Amino acid sequence: MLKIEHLTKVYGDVKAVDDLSLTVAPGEIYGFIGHNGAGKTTTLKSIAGILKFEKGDIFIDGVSVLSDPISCKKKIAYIPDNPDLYDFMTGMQFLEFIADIFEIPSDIRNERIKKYADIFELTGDLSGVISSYSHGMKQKLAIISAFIHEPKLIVMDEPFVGLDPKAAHSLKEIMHDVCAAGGAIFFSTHVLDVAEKLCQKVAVIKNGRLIKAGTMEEVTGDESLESAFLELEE
Amino acid sequence: MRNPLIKKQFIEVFRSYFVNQKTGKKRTKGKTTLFFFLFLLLLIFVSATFLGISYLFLDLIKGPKEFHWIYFAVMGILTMILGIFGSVFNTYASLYLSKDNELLLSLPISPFKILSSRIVLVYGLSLMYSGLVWLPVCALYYIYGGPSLLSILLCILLLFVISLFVTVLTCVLGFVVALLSVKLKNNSLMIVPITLAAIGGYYFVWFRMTDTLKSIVSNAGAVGEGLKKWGNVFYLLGEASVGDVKSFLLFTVISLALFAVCMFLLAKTFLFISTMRSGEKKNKVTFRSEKKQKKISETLIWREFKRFLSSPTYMLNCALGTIVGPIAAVMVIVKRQVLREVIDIFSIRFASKVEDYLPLLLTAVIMLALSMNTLTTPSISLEGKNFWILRALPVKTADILSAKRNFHLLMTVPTSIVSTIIIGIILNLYKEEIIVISLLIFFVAFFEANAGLMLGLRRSDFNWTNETKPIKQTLNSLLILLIGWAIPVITVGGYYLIDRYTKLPITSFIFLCILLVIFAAATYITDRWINKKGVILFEKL
Repeated sequence: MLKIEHLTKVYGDVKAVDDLSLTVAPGEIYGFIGHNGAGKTTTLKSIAGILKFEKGDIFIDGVSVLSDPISCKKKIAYIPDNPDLYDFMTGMQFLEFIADIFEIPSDIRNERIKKYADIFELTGDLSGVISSYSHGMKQKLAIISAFIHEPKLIVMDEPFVGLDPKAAHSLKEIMHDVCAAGGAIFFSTHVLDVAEKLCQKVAVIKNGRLIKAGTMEEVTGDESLESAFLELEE
Repeated sequence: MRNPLIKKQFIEVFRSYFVNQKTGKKRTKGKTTLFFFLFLLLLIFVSATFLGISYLFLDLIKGPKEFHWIYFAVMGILTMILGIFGSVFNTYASLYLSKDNELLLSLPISPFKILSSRIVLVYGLSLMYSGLVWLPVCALYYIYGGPSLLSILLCILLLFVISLFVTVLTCVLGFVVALLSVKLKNNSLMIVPITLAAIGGYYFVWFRMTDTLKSIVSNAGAVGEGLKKWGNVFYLLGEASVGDVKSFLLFTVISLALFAVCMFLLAKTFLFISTMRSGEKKNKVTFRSEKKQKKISETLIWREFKRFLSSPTYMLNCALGTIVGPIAAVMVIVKRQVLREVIDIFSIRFASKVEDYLPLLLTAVIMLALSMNTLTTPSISLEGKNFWILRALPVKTADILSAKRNFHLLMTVPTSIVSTIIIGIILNLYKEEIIVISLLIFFVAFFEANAGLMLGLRRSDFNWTNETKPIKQTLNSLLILLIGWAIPVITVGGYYLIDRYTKLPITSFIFLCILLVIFAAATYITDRWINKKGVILFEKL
C-alpha cells in the first residue's frame, strides 16, 4: 500500500530525512516513532504530498507521488498533529468542502458524515464555526474529514493528542476497521504504549535515518517497546 | 527600543523591508533602500493629492489673518476623518485579532502593557496618515500664509497631538467594531452591509469633499462662527495652528485627557473582548441535497469567497473597486445633465480633442477602480497555517491558483464592464469604442489579478500574527497599488505624449486598440508564468 524508497529531504544544509526506505502492506497498522525533530512529520508530509523531496520516491498503491500526486492524494488521507482548519467555515461547511473536492455524491457523503460525526459525538457542533471549536473538536473534525472519501491509506501525525478517551477508543476501532477492509495506516506517536498495543509493525527514526523497522517482535525482542526505543536512542 | 512588545510590533511591520520572507536572508542595502523609496513615492503621491485639495483654500489663506484659523480647523477635521476611516478596521484587527493573544496573555505581562504596545503601533499609523494630510496643509500655509516662527513650530507639534486625537477616535471605533464582530460572528449578512456602509460613508465624504470645501471657503465667516459655537475643539486646533499658545495647550490637554479616558476604558475591557467567544446558538445541522453538488473549480472559488466574507479587513482593503465602478456609473447617471454641459463647454473650446480624449478618460477612471481590487495579492499568504489543507488535497496546483484568480475576476470584471457600458452610453461614445474599452478593462483586470498572484507567489509569508500584515503591510500590497496606478497614467499620459509630440496618425481609439493588444499579450505571458513557474513556486512553499 505504501512504499518509501530512499527518501531524502533537505532543509538548507540539514538532512531532515536521510535515505529512508519502508513498506506498509495492506491491512497493516504501522507505527512510526522517534524523538522530537527526528524527521517523522517531514516523512509523513512527504507521503501526503505536502512537501517536495530531493531524492527517492514514494509509491501509494503502486502509484508514484512524484509522477501522479493527484491520484495518490485521492487514495490517502492525512491528519496533521495540529489541525489548523478553516476558521471561517462551520464544521459542516468544511466537511462539505472536502467532500466536494473528493467528488463524493451527496447521499454517500451525508451517510458518512452522519456515521463518523455520531461516533465522535460532533453532530450537534457541526453547525458551529470552527473558530469556536476546542483543539479536540478540531482534531475530531479533521479525522471525520479524513474518512469521508474512504481512503486506502491513512497517514496520521500524533492522532491521539487532544482526543478524549472515548474518541481515542473510537479512532482505534475505526483504524482496525480500515485495515480489516484492506486499507493501511501509518502514524507517528510518542505514546509508546499505544503503539505497542495497536501496531503490527513499527519503525524507529533517529536524526532522519531509519534505525530499526519490522514487526513488533523484531524491533522489541523480549523487551517492552519503551525499553527497546530507549536503547536504540542511546 | 527597550520594550520588547513594541519592538515585536514594529519588526512585524517592517521585517519584509529588511528580510526576504521566503529565504529568511537579509536583503541587500540596495533592495531595502529601493523598497523604502517606493514606499516614500506612494506617500508623496497621496500627499500631493491633499496639497491639491488644500489649494481650494488659497484665497482664504491669502486673505485677512483673522480667518486663517478656519483653514486649519477644516483641514484638521479632514485629517481626522480620513485618518479614522482609513484605519478603523486596521485598528480593530491590530488591537484584538492578533494570533499571539493567548501566548502573550499567558506570559507574565499585564493586559494593559499588551494593549499599550498595540496602541503605540496604531499611533504610529495615525501619525503617518495624519502627516499625509497635515504636512501639505502646513506647507501651503507656509508658502502663502506668511506664518510666524511660532506658528510653524506649533503646526509641527500639532501633528503629534492630532495623531493622538485620531488614535483615540479609531480606538473607540475599533472597540465598537470588535463588539459588533463578536456579536455578529456567524452572520456575514450583517457584517457585509455594515462594512459596505462604512466604505460608502468613506466615499461619500471623499466625493463630496471638493464641493463642501468650496462652500466652506465661500461661507468662511459663518463656518467660523459655527465652529466657535459647536466645534470648540476644532476652533482651538485652528487657533493653535496660527500661533496661539493658549489654544495649543488647551487642545493638547483635551487630547491627552481623552486619550487617558480611552486607555482606561480599553484596558478595562481588553481581556474580556480579546478572549470573548460569541456563545453561538447551536443550529440544526442540514445536509446538502444531491442537486447542489459542486464541481471542484466551483468549490475552490466558494472557499475563496468564504475567506473573503470572513474578513472585513480583506474586504475593505482589497475589494473597494467592486463598488467604486458602479458608484461612478450611478454618479454619471445622476449628474448626466451637468456632465453633458461640461463636455459641451469643453467641446466649444477644444473642438474634436474632447471627443478624442473622452474614451481614454473613461478607461482611466475604470482602471483606477480596478486598481482598488487587489484580492489575489495577499491570497497566498492569507492561507497561513491552513496551507497544509490545500497541499494535501487531490487538486491540481494550477486549479488552486486559477480559483484565486477567477475569484478576483468575478469580484472585479462584471461591475467594471457594466459601469463602462453605462458611462460609455451616457457619454455618447461609439459602439466600437465601448466594446474596445470593455475588452481592455477585462484584460487589465486579468493582468492585475495575475500580477498580484505572481507577487504573492514570489513573496509569500505564512508566519503572520495579524491578517492586516499580509493584506496591507507588505511590499506586495505597495507594488500592486503602484502597478494599478501606473496603468491609467500610462493610458492617458502615453496618448497625450503621442498626440502632443509626434505626428503619428494615431487616434485615441487606435491607441486603445494598441493597449488592448499589449494587455492581452501581458495577460497571456503572466498566465503562462503562473501555470509553469507559479505552480512550482506554490508547491515549494
